[in-house]
Amino acid sequence: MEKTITSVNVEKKSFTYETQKRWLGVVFSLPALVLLFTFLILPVVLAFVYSFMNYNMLNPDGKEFTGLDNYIRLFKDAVFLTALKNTLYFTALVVPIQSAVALGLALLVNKKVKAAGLGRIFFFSPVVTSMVVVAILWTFLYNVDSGLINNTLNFFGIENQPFLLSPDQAMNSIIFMSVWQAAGFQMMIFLAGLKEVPEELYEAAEMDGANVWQKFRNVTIPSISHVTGFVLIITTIQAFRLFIQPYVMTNGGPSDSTKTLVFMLYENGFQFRDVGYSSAIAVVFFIIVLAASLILKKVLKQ
Amino acid sequence: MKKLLVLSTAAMLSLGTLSACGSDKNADAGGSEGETKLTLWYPEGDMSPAYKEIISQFNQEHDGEIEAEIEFIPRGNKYAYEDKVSAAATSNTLPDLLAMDGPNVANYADAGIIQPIDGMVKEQDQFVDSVIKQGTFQDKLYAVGPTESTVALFYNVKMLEEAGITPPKTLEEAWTWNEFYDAAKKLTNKEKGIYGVNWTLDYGEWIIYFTGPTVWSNGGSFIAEDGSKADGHVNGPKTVEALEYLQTFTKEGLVNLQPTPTEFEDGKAAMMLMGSWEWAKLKDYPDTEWGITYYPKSPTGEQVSPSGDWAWGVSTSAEDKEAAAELLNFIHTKENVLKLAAVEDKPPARSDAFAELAEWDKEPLNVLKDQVLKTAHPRPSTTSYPVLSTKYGQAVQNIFLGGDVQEELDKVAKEVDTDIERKQ
Amino acid sequence: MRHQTKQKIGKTVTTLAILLLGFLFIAPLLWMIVASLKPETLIFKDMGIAAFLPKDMTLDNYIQILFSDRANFFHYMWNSLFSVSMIVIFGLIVNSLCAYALVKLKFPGSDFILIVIIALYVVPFESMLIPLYIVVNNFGWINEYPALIVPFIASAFNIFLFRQFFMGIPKELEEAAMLDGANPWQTFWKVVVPNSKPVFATAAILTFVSHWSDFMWPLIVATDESIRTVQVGIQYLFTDNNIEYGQIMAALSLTTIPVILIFVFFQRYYVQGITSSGVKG
Repeated sequence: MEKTITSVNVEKKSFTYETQKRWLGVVFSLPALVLLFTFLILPVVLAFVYSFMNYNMLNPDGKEFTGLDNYIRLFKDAVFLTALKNTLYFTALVVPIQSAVALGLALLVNKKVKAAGLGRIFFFSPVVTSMVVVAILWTFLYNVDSGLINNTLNFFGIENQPFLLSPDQAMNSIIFMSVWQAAGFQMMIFLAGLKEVPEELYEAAEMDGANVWQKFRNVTIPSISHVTGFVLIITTIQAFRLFIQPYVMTNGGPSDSTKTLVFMLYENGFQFRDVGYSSAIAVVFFIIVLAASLILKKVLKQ
Repeated sequence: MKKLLVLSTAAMLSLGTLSACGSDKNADAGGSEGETKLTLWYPEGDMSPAYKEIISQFNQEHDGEIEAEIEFIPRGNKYAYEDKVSAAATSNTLPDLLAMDGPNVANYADAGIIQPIDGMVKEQDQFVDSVIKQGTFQDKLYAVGPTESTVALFYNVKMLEEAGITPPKTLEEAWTWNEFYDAAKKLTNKEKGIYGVNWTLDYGEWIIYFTGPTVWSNGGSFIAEDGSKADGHVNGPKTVEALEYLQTFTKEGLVNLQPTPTEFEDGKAAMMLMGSWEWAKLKDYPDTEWGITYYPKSPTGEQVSPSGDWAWGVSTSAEDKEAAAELLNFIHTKENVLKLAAVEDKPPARSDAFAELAEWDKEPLNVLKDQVLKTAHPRPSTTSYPVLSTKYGQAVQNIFLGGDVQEELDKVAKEVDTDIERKQ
Repeated sequence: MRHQTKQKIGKTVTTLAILLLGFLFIAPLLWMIVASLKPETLIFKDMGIAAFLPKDMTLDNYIQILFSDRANFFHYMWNSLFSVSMIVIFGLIVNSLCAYALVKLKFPGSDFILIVIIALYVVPFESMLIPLYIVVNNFGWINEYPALIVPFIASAFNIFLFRQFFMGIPKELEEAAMLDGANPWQTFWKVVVPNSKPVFATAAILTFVSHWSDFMWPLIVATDESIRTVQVGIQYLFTDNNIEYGQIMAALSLTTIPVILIFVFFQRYYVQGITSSGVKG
């Protein structure tokens, strides 16, 4: 008898809780949604409209609808294909490498040693170091004649490599640098994930006689899978948006070998003041990256 | 957690107050009656303090009539200033007077964001030719500037002496391409890591600016005289020949493709093709003796040097044209031109100002004066200048890295012509 | 005994690995600081190991930056600190609430909204600059603080991040709170937030860092000296024809300090396994 009363109470409670939940759900999300609508969706819609226009940034009153002209021009533009290819290449390499490095660093600084706190600052520091400094230093590191990297290679009997000066090596050099620079960002997300893994799970595994690898494989990996999925998706999107590194280090060269889609979008929009064409690039970019992330999401779920 | 809540409420309130303050300020701006307000934009830089002084002096002299306010816009090392102007143009928030780098005049005039200033400039005949040429678009004057600039060959006196090389002292004796090449070759010492010449491989406007004279001197060009076509100009045989000449320097390692920013000053390069402002920097290195000689010329062509500096135009949103003209002329009086030129040891853009600077008649600055007065050549005037400058800059980088000159320049021609078409 | 020795060796190896690898990551920062303390003519003279060793140390570069008549460094710093802190504080509240609502308080359309939010993260900021400028200009915010703050409070990235972590909070926790008579707001405040300290810390750090380095947007919307941010404010150093690298390095060193402080401050919220102890309790 007593039992039934309790359960009725819970049901009653949960009923009001459920209604409250829905109502509050709307209230809680409203501020963010209003802001997102005004400062993200509205501009995106504007950009979409501009993509069908001939719009010189300096002459806004002279803009006019030109239908699909910008899109037709885009698909005929040889630079677009190069930029697309470069972007895909960068993404395909950077996402797995950077995520793996970030996870490795996170595991390292998640250890209970005194240096862990210091290590987090060290590994994260490239994220906060100004791109100006990073660019100057890496240009020196990659220097053909006197760079530290070539000096090291010479030591092992390998001859000087051109790195940033060669169309074949420039993108790989940028990839290497990008991983170094941004891994700290993903490391922090992994670290937050690792902190949420209940310690008992490790203790239980230890009781079963699991070694380090088994603990990693059977406890860590499954426990942070939601974080890993997140990291892979955002790293993919960030990789697609590559712009600033080639912008300051190679200016898209040599021979367009480091020109990316966002680089092209910026160049046309701002330097050439061609808002319409730049917006068309943005729309196509959006579709490509969205498709890629949705595919990735599907794959990760399986 | 409570703390956080209190903090955020306080923040929310302060945000409200701040935006309220902001609108108050705007209301004040239109405040005092009868006074014309003028705003000016200039790129933030070494010149800022001098301009601040000039504007406050102007305000004193026009107290109660005109009040000018100058804003210094950061320029970064690329095109941040131009991006800011573009954003303002697209939302009609431009200032009354607007500074622009010379080659943008055509672009801005064509888009209708600056207006003709014919007849507004006092003592126009005092301005050096290159300034007037640079400020003119379709036979109308749109901009003038107080200072000029040029590129010359700076050299390390001791290193040239040791190699037994005597650099030319007069315009007539200026080195030809071959003489310059021979000197560079002789001065390069690979064992010691010393390069014959240093030139900056900047990604901005610099490349077209410093290579321009080599092209013009050879009879080449970047674009048709009326700005209607790039094909046959930027990729024409004379232009290709000029760049092939420059390419030999990088191919043979006479120029370092990845120099340190102070390679020349540190004695790791014997000569440097650099802007006239380099002279001010060399004063930081008093232990070395420095010299300047003329920009080398093509063996078949004439002597040419680059020119162009920041110039002032009046935007189409300026309502009080007379007040704007008053301010424009105030900036360009002989006294103020001298004041502005002194900041970075820049060549003044007025010949009567030049006449007062005795230092510019002596070595080595006389070289710069000769170039400004006798051999200056403005960059091309075309509405598609941003595309030309950017794409040409990228092509030249590829050329210096060993790319095929004709092929690279063909690409530039195609891009520029597409842009010209779009604007018609 | 044996187990302890093994553990000790393990710890030493880990510490060594962290410090050695760490140096590879922090080297540029060190170089920047060393360069900022050198006289201009020495900075690039030797780019080998000597570049990392102090020589003829001087504070001249710092004095030039801090007491320049060209720029009010302290004021710019304050503007940056203020606007970025506002983004972080409001952002944490608004985005975490939204994520909580989408994950735990499902309402009609909430799944669709989530997909839209993830899609919005795809949009590169460079493509929105002009349209966003037009929107903000319509609000009359040019040269006012809200232009630097309000557009960036709601963030698709942060909502997505919070959502991902809130998903991992065990249902039992909320049910326990519900049985205690807590409403959804109390559940969020007393259960979700305390159990998600690491993700709040991560969101705070990443938001601060990414907006601290913003350049293009503040440049375009905030020309006025009075609200200029530090990244824009120090640009005059790059513009001069004769760039003084020592001063650049000094300015960049100074602008890095707040980020490092924020990082150290939020670090203490990285505590292990609260979730599990919560379940037990």
